[in-house]
Amino acid sequence: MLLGGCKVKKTCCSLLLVCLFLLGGVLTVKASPARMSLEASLDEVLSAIKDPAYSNPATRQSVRKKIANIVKRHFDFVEFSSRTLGQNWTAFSAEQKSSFVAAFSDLLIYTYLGKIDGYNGEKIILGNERVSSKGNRCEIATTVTLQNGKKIPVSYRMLPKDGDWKVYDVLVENISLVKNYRTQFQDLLRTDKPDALIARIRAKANDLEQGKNAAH
Amino acid sequence: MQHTKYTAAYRILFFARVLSFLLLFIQLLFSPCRSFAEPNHGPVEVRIRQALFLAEGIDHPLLFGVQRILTSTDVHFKPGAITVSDADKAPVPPSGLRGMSAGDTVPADDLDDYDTDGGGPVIADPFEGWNRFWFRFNDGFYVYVADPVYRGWKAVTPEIMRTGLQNFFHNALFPVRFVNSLLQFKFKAAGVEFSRFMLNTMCSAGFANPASKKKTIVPVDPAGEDFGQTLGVWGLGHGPYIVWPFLGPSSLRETVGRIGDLFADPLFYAQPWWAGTATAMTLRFNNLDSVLPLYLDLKGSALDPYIAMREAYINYRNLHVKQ
Repeated sequence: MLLGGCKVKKTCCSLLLVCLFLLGGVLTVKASPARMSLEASLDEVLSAIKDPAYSNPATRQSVRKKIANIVKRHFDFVEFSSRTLGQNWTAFSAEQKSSFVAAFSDLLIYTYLGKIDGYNGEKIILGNERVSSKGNRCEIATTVTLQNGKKIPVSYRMLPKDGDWKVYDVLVENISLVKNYRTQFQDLLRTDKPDALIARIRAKANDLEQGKNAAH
Repeated sequence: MQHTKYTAAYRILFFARVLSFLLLFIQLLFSPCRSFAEPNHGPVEVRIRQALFLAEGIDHPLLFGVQRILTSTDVHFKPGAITVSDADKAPVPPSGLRGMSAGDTVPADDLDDYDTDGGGPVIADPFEGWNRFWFRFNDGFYVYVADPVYRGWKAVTPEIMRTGLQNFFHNALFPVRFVNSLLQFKFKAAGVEFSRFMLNTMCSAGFANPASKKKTIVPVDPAGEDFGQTLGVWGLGHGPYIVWPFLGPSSLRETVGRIGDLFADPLFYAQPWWAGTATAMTLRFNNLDSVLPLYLDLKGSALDPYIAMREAYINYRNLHVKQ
């Protein structure tokens, strides 16, 4: 950071914060289950990245698998897929649906893994939580601070499923991932058959898996 | 008669200007900032750090309102968009995650289920063929020219210089943000922009951005207002999607907005014209580090990068109009 702050001020702040945390511990801060679930999963991913095995190229693959499993547990890829396909979802056969979910979840996971490769466990701050009036949907805002001090807002939309809260959309810089893919898929489905679309997603996911990111 | 009147007005203006500069000078002499002028400072970075620290204590009559408008030490964004609380400055627990104390629960019913809206493209694209051509052209330019050149630039310049230039550019474009805040009737936001400009200009000629650490009286879009957004606020739609060579995605409205903003851009008036243009291009090039990775990311994960870019750009602009 450019700004070297006042040390005394910082010490005071941290002391005050420690007091607040202690107080919080006593009063048991009330947090929504969605928030706790998200915080736990982000925590899991962060500790995986900080694992020395992750920085070692030889053991990196196993850690990547571990992270992928964490993501799979906390994301609901069926919801992701059905929302992304929208009305087209009903036109897919059961078999196509399952292979679409598999391919699309791989695409999302490898994209995510590619992103955290350039991320060294910088801090994530959990911010506001917005809850629908029925209480069955919520959006939790987080802020990721990159090494250069840039703050990127990332929000997670969640819904309750199987006794836990699962992520069904991610908004980076307030742009919904689902909505962005949705238009692409819709455009492709005008000319392609569902199977061709699934094949393209699969190919893209494989490219990303092998690190053949078009970006580099 | 006419002539005398003009001279009198001119004299008053001139006197006011001299007086304000004198006041400023005297204030700087007696303000904590004076230690900035003392020798014995090491590298430039240390001096900048000091200036940034001291700037927090500046209280100048010319900066009336700055202390009022920019009060505490945190940035305040619109709720729902981004909320960075004072957690920012707080020590982070070892896990890297902050506790729950930062968040509030806000009711919201716009968490769409996505099955209601048709999900069609967000903008008309009648020139798709033409746009795709320029998209491919720009893609080649970004990947094979801009990106390698920028990496070279990064290798030969210290980070503090790049951020300094970014801050300077942002500060120089203050008139654009100020005028457009006024045109959108966001008078308090205009006041914030003005205060930020004054603070940043006075403590560092715009090369540092201590004002960004100050809390504002109203949430102000950190990217700032521009004429494209103003037209959007006035109710104008995007019109067709257009991809410009080198500049990238735009729409008819955003193109008009860009041209309109030129008139509030000080570099547009810089003389000689080629020096102004060269400066503007250098500063724009220096800003690429926030754009290039985003673009490459988007491209890397998209099935159809053209559509992904179009949707992301238009959604992004629409959000800024709402903010």
